[in-house]
Amino acid sequence: MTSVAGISEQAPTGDEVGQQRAPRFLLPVSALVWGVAAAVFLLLRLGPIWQAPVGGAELDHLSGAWQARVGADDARFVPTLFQAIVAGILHLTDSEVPARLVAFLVTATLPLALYRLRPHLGQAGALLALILLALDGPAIWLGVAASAMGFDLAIAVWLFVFTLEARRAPWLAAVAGFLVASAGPLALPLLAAWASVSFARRRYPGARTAAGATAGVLVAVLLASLRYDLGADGLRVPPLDLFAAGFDDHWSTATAGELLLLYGLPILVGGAIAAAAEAACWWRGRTPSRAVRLLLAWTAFALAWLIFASTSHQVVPAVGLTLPLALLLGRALGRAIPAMLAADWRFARVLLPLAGLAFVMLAFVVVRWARADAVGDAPSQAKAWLYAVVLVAALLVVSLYRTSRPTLLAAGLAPGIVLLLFGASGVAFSSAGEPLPSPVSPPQARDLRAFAIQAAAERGGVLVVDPAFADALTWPFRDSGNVVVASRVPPLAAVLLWRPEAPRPDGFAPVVGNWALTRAVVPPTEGVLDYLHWLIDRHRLPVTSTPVAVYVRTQQ
Amino acid sequence: MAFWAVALLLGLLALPLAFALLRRLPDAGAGLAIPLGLLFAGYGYFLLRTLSVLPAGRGGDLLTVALLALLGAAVAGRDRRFATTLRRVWPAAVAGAGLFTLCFFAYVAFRSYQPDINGTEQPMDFMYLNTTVNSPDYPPADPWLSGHRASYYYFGYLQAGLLTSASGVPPSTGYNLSLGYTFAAAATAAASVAFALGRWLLGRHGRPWVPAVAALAVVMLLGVGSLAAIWELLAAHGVYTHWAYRLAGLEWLLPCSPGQAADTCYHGVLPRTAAWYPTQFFWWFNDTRVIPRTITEFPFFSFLLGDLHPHVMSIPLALLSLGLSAAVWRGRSPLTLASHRRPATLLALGVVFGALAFQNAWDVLTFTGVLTAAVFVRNLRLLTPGRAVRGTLGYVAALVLVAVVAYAPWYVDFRSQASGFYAYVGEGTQPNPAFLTFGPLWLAAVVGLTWTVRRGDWPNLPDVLLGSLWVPLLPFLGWILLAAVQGNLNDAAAARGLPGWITLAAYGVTLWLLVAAFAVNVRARRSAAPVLGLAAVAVLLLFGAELFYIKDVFSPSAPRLNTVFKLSYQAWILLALAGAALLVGGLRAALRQRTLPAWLAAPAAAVLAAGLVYPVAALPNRTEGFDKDTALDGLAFVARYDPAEFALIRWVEQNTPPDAVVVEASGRVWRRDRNGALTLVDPSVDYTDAARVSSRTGRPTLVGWFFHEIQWRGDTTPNRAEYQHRQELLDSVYTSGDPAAVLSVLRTAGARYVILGRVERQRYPADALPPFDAFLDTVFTSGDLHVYALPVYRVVRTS
Repeated sequence: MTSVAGISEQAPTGDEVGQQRAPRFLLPVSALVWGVAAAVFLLLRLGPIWQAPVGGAELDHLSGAWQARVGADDARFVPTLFQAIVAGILHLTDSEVPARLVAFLVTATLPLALYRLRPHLGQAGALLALILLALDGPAIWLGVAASAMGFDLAIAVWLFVFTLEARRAPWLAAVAGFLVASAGPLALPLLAAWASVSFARRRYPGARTAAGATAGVLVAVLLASLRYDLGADGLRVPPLDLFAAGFDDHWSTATAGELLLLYGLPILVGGAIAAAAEAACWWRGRTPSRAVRLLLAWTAFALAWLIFASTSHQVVPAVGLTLPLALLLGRALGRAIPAMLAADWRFARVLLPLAGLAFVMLAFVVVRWARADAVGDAPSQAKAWLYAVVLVAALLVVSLYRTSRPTLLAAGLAPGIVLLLFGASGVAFSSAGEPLPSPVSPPQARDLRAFAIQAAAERGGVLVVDPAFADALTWPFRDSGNVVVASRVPPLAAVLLWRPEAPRPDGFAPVVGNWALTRAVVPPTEGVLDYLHWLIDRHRLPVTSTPVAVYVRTQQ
Repeated sequence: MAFWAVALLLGLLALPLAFALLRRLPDAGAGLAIPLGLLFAGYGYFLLRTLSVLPAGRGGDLLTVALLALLGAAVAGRDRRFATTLRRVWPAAVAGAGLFTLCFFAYVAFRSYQPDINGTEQPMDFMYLNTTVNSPDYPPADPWLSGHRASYYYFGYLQAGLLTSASGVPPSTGYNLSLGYTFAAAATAAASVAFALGRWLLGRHGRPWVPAVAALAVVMLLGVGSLAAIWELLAAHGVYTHWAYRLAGLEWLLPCSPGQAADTCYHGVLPRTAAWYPTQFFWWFNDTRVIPRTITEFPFFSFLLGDLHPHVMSIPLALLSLGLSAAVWRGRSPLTLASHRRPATLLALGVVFGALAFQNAWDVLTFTGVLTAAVFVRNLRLLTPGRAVRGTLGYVAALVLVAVVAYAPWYVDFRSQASGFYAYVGEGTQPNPAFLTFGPLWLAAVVGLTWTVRRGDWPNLPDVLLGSLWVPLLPFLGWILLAAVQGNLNDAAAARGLPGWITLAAYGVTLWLLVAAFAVNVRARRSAAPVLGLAAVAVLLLFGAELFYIKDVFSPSAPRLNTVFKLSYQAWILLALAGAALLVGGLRAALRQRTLPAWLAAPAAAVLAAGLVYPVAALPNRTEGFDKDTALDGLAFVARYDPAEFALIRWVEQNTPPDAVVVEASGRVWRRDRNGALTLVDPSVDYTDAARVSSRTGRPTLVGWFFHEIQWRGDTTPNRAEYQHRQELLDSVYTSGDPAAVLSVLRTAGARYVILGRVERQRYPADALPPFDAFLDTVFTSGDLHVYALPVYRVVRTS
């Protein structure tokens, strides 16, 4: 872009040159747009740092980090670099906010990485990819949450930048190797894609680069195996450990497949179309650029991960897939939008608004159904069919004219943007009804801690916790002195956090209240109407909790 | 679907590897890619888990699949002919995938009528499948002997576990799907190798016949059964004459006459059938026990029975090794130690041939022997005999070394049950049961003798026949020598009996003639040679099993039980491939030339067709006329018949750590005698539901099937004492009545959970059970079944 923003957007004529003073500064429009996009990217991530409840994988890993901080062995401490940093931070404060700030600061480098990708994605493509990533709900959460994978998003994108570098300095390779091997699993599909593309095309890294990367990996594995000086724990490769843990652990109430559909549908559909288009060009003999080849392979590995992990309770595979798809989609949109603007709008300027109107009318009808959680009566169904037919017919007519066809992009962009904005705002503003993150540790758990500690102190006994709650208590009950985990009431017990279904222990009185240690939002996955109902009313999702019976000793 | 898709995905990812190793086959190994992919993924998983690089669980399995993809990409990148090969053989690859799909779903459909993991040794198979999936450390633990690692050839289970875990199905379903995979992979691999053999054998003009070779090989391998089925079918319908059954040696199938000994006639429930097929329970089982004190199992029976045994799971691998041997045979340069210039190829071959021992130890000698023969004959074509021998030894020795090193972690824990090589000095196999069992395949191979030796070869025949005589003679002389050393040559000769000598002579002569025909064809550089060679090896195995046996724990009661079982199974595989090619070739020659083959090929084909009576009758028997509820979960029968016990199993599976030691019934039955004292009334535990929680969840227990542990670890006094002590510990938990004693056992065993399920209630008197809930936590209850756990007490620091 050559136009500039500032005092004047038009170049002065020759006569004016002498009369006008030179502007104080010239700001290229591109820089301005990049700045706005980066600001959006960062602003959407600021809210969750303070507002988001600790939940999902973050709850697990903060618990693990806290255990590491107090010197206890806990499988939830997976020694990624970020997790080790968090354990260190927890020596200074027991709040999750500083750890999230560190994750945010690293994620904040992502706009810069996207900026570096302009030669490969195109100026507009890289910018649009940044906007897509800025609006991707799961990516927002993963980039600021203090889970063990807090650096993953940034590392994956920077690794992509690194793999496309023409010259790779050995020290940079060492840093890349170290970061990838000391992070979570998000970069693994890219790594596999890069390796397979390199192997298949017999383009191996130079000996020095390979040696540097190997050294970086070895150092990372060594540090992880020593758990960053928190005690040796056998051979540990954090990305592999976390990749595997994602299948077994309960890091999310919704599954990876559900989260992708709830938050990443526009990127999934758009990215899939973009990937299919690139693959089709390749099939027809037009060799794509190195970046696109790598993106396609990355998408393939990420898609395989998502398919296998679609029923596992985690968010990472969803982000793993939307990441390359967003890059592919951004690149494709960067080309498609100018084509759309330059297309023949003679029919589209009438038909697309008509389609839009039909869509809105259809939406009104379907939204009414969604609110009622049931498909409407026959007249209402007939109306819906009528609007649907008008919508499809209008789009079909536009698509019949080759020169008008690019204008159809507008019909796809509108709902896509709306859906993305819904998802992004839900996560960014940490709405309590969002299924991401979930399950969370509610503030009530911290209140319960305060009460339990005080009650135990008053009675001169110990706080005893049923083994079923031992893990859930780690984070909300941090810094509470010694807690006894026991399946039977020990003599010194003063306060009991017990299973509600267990009989009341002798000599103890229940403390009235709906005590809960975790709260989970049930995702809207019962059908299209359930999903639509959630879209229009995001606070309606049912919430479940882990109830706890609280008892205090009445007799000595 | 996921299971099938993962199996196909592995095949797809392994295509570059298959092309690199098997390019000389007409389909470039496309039909063998599926077992090859699973083998390499399984090997990678085993090695990386053992090195603690890969994490446990489904993620570890999927990472292995990703590594296979990278390996495939690397091999494809280095293979300059990959793209052209792919363009050439893609129809074969698609056909292979189609055959695999067809066979997989057909078998799974059958199995859905009989999915129970119950009876015979299926609990043992399920235990090994579970431990390969669940074991937190590798090499995997032996759940039936807590604190010990598995000492068995469990590589097949590991591969089945990988497919199960990667596809995300529970092991109780994965068990049945693994059978489906094995069936389908065996069919696809057999078709691939037979296609190659047929293509080479029949030449350019015989190409239209080649698909028939592949199809017939699949049928012979997986469809044909014992001829005894015809006799049983007729007897069940009351159609018989005594003399015919006496001639066949099957008079025991006929109803008993008054005063006749029960073991010489049928004394079961009459009538034996209520339908067109025999409806007698487990009717189809008899045909593998036709030769006294041996087992002559064949693949169709194996898949009908549904034991996920190593010898079954190794069929695709054995066929893969034969495909590699065939590819080696077709090579055009000598193979010596120096040929191993490419370490990657040597390593790949080492992984395949090393797996033979790891998957079914009996296979390694036979199929490595076939490879050695292929290398030797190839070298003989190109080198002087001396150099051919030296070259072959160098080539194979390096391969063997790599194969052993590649699986070194397994050898550390493995204790072979073989304890010596002996001359067989008992009663020989009678000709009629031998023919009933092996006749269809044997005849198909013999047909080859009639048309692979041409009139122009006749002048050389005397020399060749004389030179080939050492092949049957040498083992026979070895038998004489060994029997004499064992001190009972005369008795041995007498004990064999005339029928036994006739069978031995029949095998010996067939072997001699096949070797002679093989030699003639090798000398003439004809493509019939490898097929005849495979047939000769098969007959050598049958011949050898008549002369020798490997001593093992079964030997005191049935000396050659395992030897005949395992070697005849290998012979079946070899005869299916060679027989299919030779029979189709014979039929083609008969139709074209109308000479001698016409006389033999037609009846051989008819006998083969008679072998199909077994599957036709056995399938409806096994599935009760396909009139049952269907399921794929192998534990569905537990849920159906005892929901509380099923709930208990699932609770243990989902709520206890994979390495948690559970205490459950030893399996021995205790009752109170007249004086009220506890008495052991039934000590047998093998083949019962002893250690069923362990086998169904993979959680370790103190001891499982006693005799099986003896089989795996050796029949030694310390072992017996140790296992018996463990049984006593288990029994004491349920009979001592003393909480302190129970807690002591739990601490000694490192156990946390005590099971009080259906089996415990059946094995121990109710009044002997201690009040577990008084001193243990009740962590699961369903009806009168419980799981108890040691009470928890620990102080946790939070600051």
